[in-house]
Amino acid sequence: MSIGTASTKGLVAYDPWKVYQGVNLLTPAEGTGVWLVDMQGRYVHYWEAGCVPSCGAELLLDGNLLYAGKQVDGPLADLEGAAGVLLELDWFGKCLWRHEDPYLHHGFARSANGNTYVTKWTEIPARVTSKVEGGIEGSERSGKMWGDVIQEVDQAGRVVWEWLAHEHLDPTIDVICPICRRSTWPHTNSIHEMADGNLLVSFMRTSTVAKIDRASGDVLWRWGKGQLAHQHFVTEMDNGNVLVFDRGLHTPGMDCGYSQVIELSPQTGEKIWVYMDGHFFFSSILSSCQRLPNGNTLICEGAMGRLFEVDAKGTIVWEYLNNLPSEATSPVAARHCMVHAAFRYGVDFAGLRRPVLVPRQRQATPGTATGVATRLHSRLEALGY
Amino acid sequence: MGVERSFKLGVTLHNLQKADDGYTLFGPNNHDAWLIDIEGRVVNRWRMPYSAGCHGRLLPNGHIIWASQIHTAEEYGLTDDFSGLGGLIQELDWDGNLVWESEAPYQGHDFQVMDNGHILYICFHPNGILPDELAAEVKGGLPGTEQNGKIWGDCVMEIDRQGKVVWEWLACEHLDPKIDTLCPLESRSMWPYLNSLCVCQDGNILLSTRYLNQITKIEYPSGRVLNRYLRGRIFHQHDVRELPNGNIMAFDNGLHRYGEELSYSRVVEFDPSTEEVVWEYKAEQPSDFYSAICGGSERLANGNTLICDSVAGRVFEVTPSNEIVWEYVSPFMGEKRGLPTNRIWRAHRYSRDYTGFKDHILDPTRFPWENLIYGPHAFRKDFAFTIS
Repeated sequence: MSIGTASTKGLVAYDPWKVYQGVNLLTPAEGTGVWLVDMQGRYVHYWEAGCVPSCGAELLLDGNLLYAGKQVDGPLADLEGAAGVLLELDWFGKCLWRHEDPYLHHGFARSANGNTYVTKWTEIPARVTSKVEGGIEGSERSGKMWGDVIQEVDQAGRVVWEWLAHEHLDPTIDVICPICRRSTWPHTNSIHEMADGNLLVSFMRTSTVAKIDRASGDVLWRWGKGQLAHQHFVTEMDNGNVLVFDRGLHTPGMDCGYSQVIELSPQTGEKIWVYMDGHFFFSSILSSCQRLPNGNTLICEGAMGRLFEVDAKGTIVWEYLNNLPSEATSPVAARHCMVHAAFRYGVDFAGLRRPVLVPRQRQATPGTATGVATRLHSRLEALGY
Repeated sequence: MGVERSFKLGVTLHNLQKADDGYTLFGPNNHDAWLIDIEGRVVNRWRMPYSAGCHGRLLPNGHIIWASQIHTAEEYGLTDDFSGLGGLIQELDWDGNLVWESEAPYQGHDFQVMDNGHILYICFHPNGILPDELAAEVKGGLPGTEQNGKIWGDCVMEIDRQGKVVWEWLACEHLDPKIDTLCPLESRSMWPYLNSLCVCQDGNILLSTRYLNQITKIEYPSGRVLNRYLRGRIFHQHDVRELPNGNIMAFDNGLHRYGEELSYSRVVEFDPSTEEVVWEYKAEQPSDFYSAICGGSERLANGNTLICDSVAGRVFEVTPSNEIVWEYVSPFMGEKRGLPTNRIWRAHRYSRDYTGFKDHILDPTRFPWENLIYGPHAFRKDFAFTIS
């Protein structure tokens, strides 16, 4: 899909009777911070993180923000999803907790017990890589394949639990897409703690989502063969079903790629609900999806900077094309800034207990560097915020 | 809605100093062909008897030549792997009167009018079905996706003005299964899947062999393969053309790019003697320009390139330094596989002094209602709509 030179930006559609009212948290891909905007796209709050994000930031129940940032000179900075630092910021942008590891990539999950699950790369031993199937022959990264480790780290940064993907995956089942590189396997791009304490993960290069048993490390369940194509962002919903954003990249036999948001039953493997819109809904990178308490679904079509909410019938009831200023260097004024992920928080969300300014009555944001704040605020003014 | 549905319609950008001038011909997926001026005003309209079997062009005599869709894949007993089907080539005069037509069985995608007036076209003809031993040697593609167990080899046919086939080229007789391998994610129902052709200055033919991720040049009339270009460097490309300077330009759609996990399209110009890419257009954020199918590019007299972003229904002009200086988003809705779409298969630009316009008046006031509804003033540039 393409971006034209001139299009309606900001709020495009809004049915106040049908939406799940709240505020929207979004992490622009090219910025160094996170925005909170209201349903009309008006500025509510901004956190300056000081580094480019590697995935979407999330608000925690205590009102703090978890942000995964990229170290630009990390050892594997050329790999997609490279991160390096995980920050916990308070409402005013002050860093309360920091976890650094140059091999961190993609996402994280704050556990119910206060610890944090992170994903990092580790070199896969040659005895395993020789068995991994699929991918373009000879396309390892300088001869090596990088596998995923999920670690649970506590407040002091100690690793209290660790899971190495290559010790539990089956190279004959978890096969890399034929036109992807063999630089990483399986390329875990999203992790989520489930209600039962186990982990729900998204393996991008093998186009499967899986449930990992926390106690034994076994892969309890996998889904996706023939159904998913380089998905991103998988979560467990309150009803026990799984929601996943299927990007639809490298789809077999399709002459025109399209993305889907799929709700599936982990017990039966059946697709319960699917949202798609032909080629009008497609993002080959980034992206997220969230089931809202009223049964609607918030979708972030990352590459297009497009956030929208659909009801169960697939009717769009809210749509916002992100045009928030970032410190990006791209001078293409009309383009929508790409968004990693977006989340909606309703009025009863525990994390929104902080003082908030009514839109258009903002003052200087404490906790941010003066220079950044000044530039940002003048650009906000220019946009009419 | 889709980010494309938020596009402003009509001419959305026009840099008067840098853009070309002239008229643009295109057909939405319906029974119309439109000729618009640089401001986006309709100056001629042809109402075709049939929907587009993809392509149409203007001729130096002022007529339009058009491939019409008269059969669906289903009617041929084929699956919808076989797309872009036409079947009838028609020539209509400026006012839409039929002056010539010829059936072109199994014709699809592109065709070209040769200097001698014959028509060269691509078709999925049963003559080209691969014998089983050859089909077994063809590598790549998704296993088990043959068409009723057969691989259909594409064909190129030349018909004279009486509709008689005077020359035929069958892929199965000239391609080499050891070299010409299919993309691993595509169907094995076709080999190699031709979607465009171009007669070169030397009389030979450039073919866009889509599923092979390469451009293939064949000798005319012997049919043997002369060159294979950009093998594995362009992906599911379209509209391969020879430029007056001898270089070759192609629309690299970018479906199934090996080793890349971002979908984007680009237009490339390369020197056939060295296969070096001498110019390319890619969006600054590459995923901002992506047309998985169709797509076209045309070099203009002023050195700029007209690019047809088919899936978005968008035609735009870029300078050699990749600056967009003109953009038009089609407001005309056609239909593809039952769904409404404003997509355009290909767009052609003709200069003001094109010989085909010699005896005609290109006056938008001849189309008052078309311009009222679809012209530049029809689409206010500044409103944002809400559902309430």
